[in-house]
Amino acid sequence: MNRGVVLSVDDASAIVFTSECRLVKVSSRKGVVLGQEIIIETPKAKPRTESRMLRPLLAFAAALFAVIAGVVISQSILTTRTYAVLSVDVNPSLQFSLNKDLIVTDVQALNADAGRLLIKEKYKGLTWEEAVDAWLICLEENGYEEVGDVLISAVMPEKDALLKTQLMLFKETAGQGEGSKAQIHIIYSNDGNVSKSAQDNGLSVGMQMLVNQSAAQRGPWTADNIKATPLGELVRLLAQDGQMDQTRITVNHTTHNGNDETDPGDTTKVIPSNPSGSKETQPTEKTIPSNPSGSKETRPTEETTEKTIPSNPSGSRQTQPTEETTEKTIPSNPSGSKETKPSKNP
Amino acid sequence: MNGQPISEETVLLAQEGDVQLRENIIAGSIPWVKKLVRKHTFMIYVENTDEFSIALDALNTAIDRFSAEKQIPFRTYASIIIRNRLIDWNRQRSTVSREQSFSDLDTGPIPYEDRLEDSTSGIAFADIESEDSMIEVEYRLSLFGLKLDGLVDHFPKQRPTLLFCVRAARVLSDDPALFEKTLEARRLPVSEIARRMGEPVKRVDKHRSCILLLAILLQSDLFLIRSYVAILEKEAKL
Repeated sequence: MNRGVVLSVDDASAIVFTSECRLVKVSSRKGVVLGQEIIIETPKAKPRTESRMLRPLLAFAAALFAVIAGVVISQSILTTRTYAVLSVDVNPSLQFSLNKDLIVTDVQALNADAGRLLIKEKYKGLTWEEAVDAWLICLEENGYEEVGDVLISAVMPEKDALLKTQLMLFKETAGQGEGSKAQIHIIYSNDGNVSKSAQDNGLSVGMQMLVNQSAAQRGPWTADNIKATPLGELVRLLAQDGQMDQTRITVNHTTHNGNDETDPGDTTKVIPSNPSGSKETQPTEKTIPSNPSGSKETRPTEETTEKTIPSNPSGSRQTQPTEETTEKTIPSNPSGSKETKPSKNP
Repeated sequence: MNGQPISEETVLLAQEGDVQLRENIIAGSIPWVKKLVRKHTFMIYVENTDEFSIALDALNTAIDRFSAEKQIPFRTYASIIIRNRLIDWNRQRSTVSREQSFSDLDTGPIPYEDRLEDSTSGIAFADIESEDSMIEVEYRLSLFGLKLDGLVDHFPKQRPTLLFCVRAARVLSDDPALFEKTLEARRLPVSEIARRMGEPVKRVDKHRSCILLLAILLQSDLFLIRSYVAILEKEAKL
């Protein structure tokens, strides 16, 4: 605070001799008269310097905020963007939208039964495996105790490796639970058109793949009648000759025309039942299994054959050739029955 | 009397109670007063304006307050009083309603004590310096062709320069003879001041207007301003 004596005053300004012995001109104010000592508001300069300092800081803060907001928004867009579509056909059927982290971002009921049971919030934020498990548990809890065939289908980018690996692992481990009789079939496609076609036809991506395969094989199923067909029968379509052997399906499929369900190119593949998940799908003709089990064609020894009787499509339980295991797994013989038992003890 | 200087004796006689002489002074000053009002209002016909009434009232006040001791010619003194009243009127009118007439302001200006109580007025709690002292400062500056408006931009901003000017002004004001000689000559004795200070003449000459103002202020009755300078000198141990 500074004081000063008014030496001169006019309509707009006053000349003041300050207590610091300086002569300054200030804006005239109400009630000020000549010779009066007034208080001069000198701090005016201070806010100016502050604003000079503050302005670049504010600009920097605004720029930083914009960058952070941009990153957050883009990250949010990226994380919520649908990376892959995964359907679970049990009838009731569901379809999950997955982000790049393979987390469920959206769930869609594909028929009325599913719509009745589905609580979307229960599945959002889960990994797809957790979501599938939760859905199967939900079905069991709601009277679908005898879930037989489960078709898990996925449409993902061609360069994806993680989801394919996870699908194979899921295939290996699923249906192994005590009392579980679910037979898991997994197919996938890298063709994004499959999901578009599925959406247009009101089908799951899995069903759309089956429709495509049926069309390739000149089968009877179309988008109109496939919904009315039991899933078990449809899975035989996957196996082409009515066999449910996953390996044979893969072999036959690739042998057939080297194509997939969605595109006569190579976009759709059936995950092999081989637990290794290795490249048995590529050397097609050479690996057609001669034994009815259709599995373990890479282990031709007597001992191995005995142990690896493919009562389990995953082939992971060679050392436990029990009844229970056989029942739980997808039958390796074409009929899909339990004739696999005699092969255990030749 | 129109255009002729009014003698000090006439004014003093009017001040002492010669009503006829007072009326004569006022009547004779009307053309001059009109000229001042025209200059202030930028109007040609001012006889019926509030400003003209205010100016005549200020002239009457000037007759009452005139002092021969100040050695300020009555016309100069009265013209400053009239100008100040017209400025006050303008400022007062701009803050009140523009449609309010002079007769509405019969209550007069707001008392100083009331203004002190108004926290928004920015008025410090100190004695008001007399208007006559301010007029004297203005008149003395005018003798050197200086105006306060013009001095603001040339007043030293740096403290060492300001202290130098204060020292020079003190040399001048502390010697009444030298100060009177300066007023009579209407010229700052630069060489004498430089010699007494032991500083280069050029430096004193460079800041002569500031030195003159400070010296005039130190020689005035403006107690507050003199105290400001004294505090500065004490702080600087001059």
